[in-house]
Amino acid sequence: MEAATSTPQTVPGEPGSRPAWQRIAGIVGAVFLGAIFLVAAYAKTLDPAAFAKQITLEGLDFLLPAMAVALIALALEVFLGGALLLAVRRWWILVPTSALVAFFLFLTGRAYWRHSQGIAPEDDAGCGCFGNLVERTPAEAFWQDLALMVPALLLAWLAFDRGGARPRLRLAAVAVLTAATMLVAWKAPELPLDNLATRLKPGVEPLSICAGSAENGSRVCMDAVVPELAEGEHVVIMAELESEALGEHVGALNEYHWGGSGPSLWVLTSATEEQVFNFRFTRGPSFELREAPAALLRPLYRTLPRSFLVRDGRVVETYRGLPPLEELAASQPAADEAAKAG
Amino acid sequence: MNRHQATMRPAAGRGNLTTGLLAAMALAMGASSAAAQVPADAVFSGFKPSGDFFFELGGETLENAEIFLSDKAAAYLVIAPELASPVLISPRTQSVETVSFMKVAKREDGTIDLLADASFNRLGSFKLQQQEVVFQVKGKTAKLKRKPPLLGQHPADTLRSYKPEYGRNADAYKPIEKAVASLRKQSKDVRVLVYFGTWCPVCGRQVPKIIKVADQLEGSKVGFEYYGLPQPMTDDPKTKEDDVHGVPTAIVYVGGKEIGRLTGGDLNSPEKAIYQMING
Repeated sequence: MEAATSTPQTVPGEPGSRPAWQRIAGIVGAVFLGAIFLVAAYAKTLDPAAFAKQITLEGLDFLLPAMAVALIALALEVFLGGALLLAVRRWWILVPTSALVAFFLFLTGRAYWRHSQGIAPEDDAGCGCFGNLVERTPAEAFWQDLALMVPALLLAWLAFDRGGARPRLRLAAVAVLTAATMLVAWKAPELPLDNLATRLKPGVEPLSICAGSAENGSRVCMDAVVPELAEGEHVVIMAELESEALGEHVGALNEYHWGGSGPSLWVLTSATEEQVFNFRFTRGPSFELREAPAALLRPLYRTLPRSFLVRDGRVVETYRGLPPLEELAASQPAADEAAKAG
Repeated sequence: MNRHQATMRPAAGRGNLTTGLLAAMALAMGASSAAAQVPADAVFSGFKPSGDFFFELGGETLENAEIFLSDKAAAYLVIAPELASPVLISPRTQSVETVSFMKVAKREDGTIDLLADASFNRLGSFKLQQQEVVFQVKGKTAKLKRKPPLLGQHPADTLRSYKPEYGRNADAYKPIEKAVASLRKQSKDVRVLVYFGTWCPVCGRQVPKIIKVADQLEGSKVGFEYYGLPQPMTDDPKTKEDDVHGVPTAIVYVGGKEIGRLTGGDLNSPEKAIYQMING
């Protein structure tokens, strides 16, 4: 039994010989750090593709494909986070934990240095109207990560557990958690988790969704992109203009738009000016395209296209892919129904 | 008078060389009565002046070329004195066609319809080359090219003429009367400096609202200036000087001192936002 094999020892330098405050502080630090890892892993598990894209942007896919790197990193994060939460603080947990923290700091530190040197990150520039939308400046990201993770890590080392038998039960639990996470991450793109994994779900007021920071003057909200959503019924499609998933349905969307029945149609894209030009002259859309910054749209989908139905400023339905146009065209807008009833 | 007589008339001169030519040709060929009786084409109608492009033929820019866009047809119509017939560019079919002047009717609001009985003569198809639409017109290379951005400080009239969409959207905007009336009563000098990009679609929707508000505040203590930026906007040092991160951005000065900025959703109702900013 685990309880019998992990009896506290009282030799100098062992956990039992440490002052109580040190042990408690160490446990708190380890649990805090473990929780940080697991919270970070949660979002990545539901949307591994976004994590893989981030890995590509960071240039970390030089040995393995980005998705493989993403899954390995996710497994490591979940395993270490789970182990710290379950009070496994052996050297073979704390050393890789330290390495992972150092790696995160390296990434934010590198971004900080690049920013200070005027080297822009390779990200989607969009239409260019919105500038560079950042929630946290690279400096803020670096110092916040440093302030959150390093003290927690140092505290975790205070409660470093030197010896005794391996905590097999807890390790088994962590292994099961990691395996389950990997399975969910692997299957996640096919699972109907969009409402769970993104900020867009029924009940949300889309116009209040924002990106960027008011402090650095880069804040942009959806009300600058499609203020029309405040009233009436609208169906909104978020899409990549170069994708076939949208391209092959342009005819149907044109027809819906000019059919005059059903909710108003809007297509949001973070495409560049060049991509919009090419789309206009190769596909001939007659519905309205609205350019939105990538940073504003990215938290709203896992895969594109994704669509949603808005009634009087509130999301009432979300759709994976394009919306059911025929069904929407046949539906009577709520306002019309109310007017008729009145 | 039938429905079409009420809403449509043949292309009539409105002070422009091209439309003057169009009107003269149409009238000379008796298009007046035809246009009055034949309805507009169901798809190729509602062509609005577009300020996104300019037209080049045989390497020369046709200064008097007018370019129209139909949202419904997603097609462009080019009319120029140098062209024997208007040219229709249809992305959906990737084709370039000519259409007779007699089958072109101009509405009072400046939009253009092709008549339902218009016939099209195919010139060929177009190619996209480095963000240009390229095709052949009688052995000459024709290009629909993107207009360069309007840079630096300009009065609102220049914005209106450079991008007809600005004028159209300004005309369509209805400011909140109460807010405009309150702003007219301002006793202090207020200056609003608007940074914009003619390449930026958001500016195309929001700057016209400011232009309309400025029109209504003409003669008051509230003045407006417009400054066009390149793309990327950081190429202009003024963005660094004034710490501008995105467009449109309207900086509000009272007595020469900046009191705040309007960006994003603030500009959905600029008169209200300016009023609130000035009055705390």
